[in-house]
Amino acid sequence: MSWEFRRNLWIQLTPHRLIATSIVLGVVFLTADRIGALRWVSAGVFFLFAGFWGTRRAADSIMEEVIGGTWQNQRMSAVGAWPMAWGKLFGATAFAWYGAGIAWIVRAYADFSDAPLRVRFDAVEHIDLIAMLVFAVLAQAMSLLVALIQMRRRRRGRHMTVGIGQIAGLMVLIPFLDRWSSERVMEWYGNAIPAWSFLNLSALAFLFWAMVAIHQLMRAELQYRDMTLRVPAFAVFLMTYLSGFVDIGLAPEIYRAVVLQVAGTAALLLYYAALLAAPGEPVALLRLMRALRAGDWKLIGELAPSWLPAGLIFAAVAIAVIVNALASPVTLPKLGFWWLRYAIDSYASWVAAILVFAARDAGIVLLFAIGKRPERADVNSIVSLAVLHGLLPWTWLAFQSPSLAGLTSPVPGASTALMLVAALAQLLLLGVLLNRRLAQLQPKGVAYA
Amino acid sequence: MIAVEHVLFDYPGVRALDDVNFTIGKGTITALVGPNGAGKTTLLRCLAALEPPHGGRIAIDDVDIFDEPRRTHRLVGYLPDFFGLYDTLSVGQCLTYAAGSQGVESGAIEQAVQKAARAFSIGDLLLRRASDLSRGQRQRLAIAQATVHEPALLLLDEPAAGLDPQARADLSQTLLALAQAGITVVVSSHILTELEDYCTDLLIIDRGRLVEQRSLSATETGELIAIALAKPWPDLDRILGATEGVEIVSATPDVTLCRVAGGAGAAAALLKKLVDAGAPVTRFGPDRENLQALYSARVARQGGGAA
Repeated sequence: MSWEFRRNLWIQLTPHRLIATSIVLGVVFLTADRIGALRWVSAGVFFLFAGFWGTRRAADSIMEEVIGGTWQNQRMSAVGAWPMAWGKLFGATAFAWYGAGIAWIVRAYADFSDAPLRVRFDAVEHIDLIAMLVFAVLAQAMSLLVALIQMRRRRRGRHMTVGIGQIAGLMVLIPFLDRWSSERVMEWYGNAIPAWSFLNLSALAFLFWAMVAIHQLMRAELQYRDMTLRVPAFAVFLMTYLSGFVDIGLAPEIYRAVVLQVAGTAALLLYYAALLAAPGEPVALLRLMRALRAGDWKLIGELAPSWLPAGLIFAAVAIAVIVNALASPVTLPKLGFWWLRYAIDSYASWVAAILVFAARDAGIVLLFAIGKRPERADVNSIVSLAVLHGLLPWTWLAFQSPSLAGLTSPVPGASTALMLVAALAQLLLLGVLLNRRLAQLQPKGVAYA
Repeated sequence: MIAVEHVLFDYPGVRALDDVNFTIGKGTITALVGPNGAGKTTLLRCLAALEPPHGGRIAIDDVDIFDEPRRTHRLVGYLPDFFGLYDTLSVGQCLTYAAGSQGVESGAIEQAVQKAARAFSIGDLLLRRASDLSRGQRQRLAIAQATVHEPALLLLDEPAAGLDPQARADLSQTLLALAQAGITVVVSSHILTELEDYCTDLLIIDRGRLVEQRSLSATETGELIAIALAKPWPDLDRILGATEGVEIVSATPDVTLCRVAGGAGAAAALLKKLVDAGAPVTRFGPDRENLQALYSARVARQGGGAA
């Protein structure tokens, strides 16, 4: 058993907590049974414990160590990344799972009692019970993941970090709650799959990737040195997953164009997520610069931020989109995006502009990361990107100046050539600013090693 | 035990460690002193393999901390200046968790816990919650946690901060016992008078640079001997100066410190010479250099601040 898990059990499962919770829940469920509301009350209690409290505990599992001054000892312990990850995920939430476990058993009993005799022992009829567990673990894993990301970005405000982690986890539960009324059928790569089955399988798949991400971040925290292929692997998964929703009934050339566009969008989203999640440590960047100058490729691979492979994958897909658009032009309306018909003069140039703007945005995020207040880099980055991609373009569009709107963001309406030139100019400017800032970061009179 | 070669560490715009070189032998207790912001904590974190240096090399027991940080962690116990305990756990649970998480074999954990508890005089507190301990008891528990896996190297950052005089005296005894057990100890502290009590070696660091490394008990040039006289005796300096292998280190009205080469035999010969010459000797024996004086002189030469 993981020592991290064991320690958490000692803290979480104290006798008085277990006894008090059992008594309170017993009273609640007896009352609910009396008024005929056992099914939904048990489900509600389950999500109160596993969802609300579980996500909070999962997010706090890392921050309480940092704030409490015990994290350095954990980093130096012999506990590996995986036992540390699951020890925190399931250990810190042990009490939440105790309450949720009781509620789950009651819910199972209610389901079993209410089910018609012919399907009472049919596992498929009770798949919701499994789905409750999967979604609850996924929500908690998401909370822990988001808290870990924030901790690595040196966010030290415990309440803010835990709150954001908890909200991220609770958002995962929304599709589950929505599915109660859903009897739709999903089309995925042409296969008709009941929506609830698809949702459960998707939750399992994303739970797997959430655990992979937690494990990877934990490895980095515990000083394992490795070159990760997890980001590219997840990018491939995400592109494959989302491309499955494209209608296979489309003409082959349109299907190819749409799949490329969906894959590119997925890669772009992953790139921005990785960019905003990466710990912006000036020192790490200086070390990366040194490794680059020394041509130490092994070290470069270890130090490279995760947004870099995501960005390279996006660039590769974007180039494929451009080549495909030039080789077999598909009329824009057939892509299904009606607004493109009037707004984009050249699809290939537009995608190229998106690529360059994405590189510019990496420059902005890096500039804040190595700025004078790196602890506020994430907020400043998000605000800046929101201004450049939202506020400014909308303002110019409101003043009937679409050409100006395209100067800071690849919004439809501007000349794509102008967009491309503007994006390249901004990229160049950021390159100069970054270089100047890096020079300032170097201690006086010391050259790069 | 510790080999530090040309170590660099940068913070944005600041070189925290600048071409630091030193070696530390096994079983020694080294005082790491320097002004605030000199780089002491950064150096300790590098030695603990919590922060890889940006240049140079650090090896602990021949294990490179950059190549094998996880293996280095097995060799090191580290107590940061701001340490935390699991307040809701008992002392016994804290030690058991520390032992288990540090890789002590399951069958040996109970023995390791008892041994650490005895060593730090907290054996009778095993059932008490950590939150109920006094400041000194918490400090002892924290050091016990850091040493429960019997590391080869123990790094302590300001371990005596906030301790009362008795707890500080206990800490001194504990560190001496650890060194006698073969554990190498590096202690960063501002309380120089206490470091004198138990440290065998000294590292002074200032503005990221190592400005002094020396042994406090003996050097290659000889044993440090303190001579005290019942009353002033004008011939003392002359005799000491005329004796081969003897060098006066410092002299106050009460005590003269000199370095005597040639081991115990040479020291005995010097004592006989002084007594035969009529010196009113009241004390003659091994001593340590005054750490405060040594530090002040060295840092003042560098233009640094107070300890």
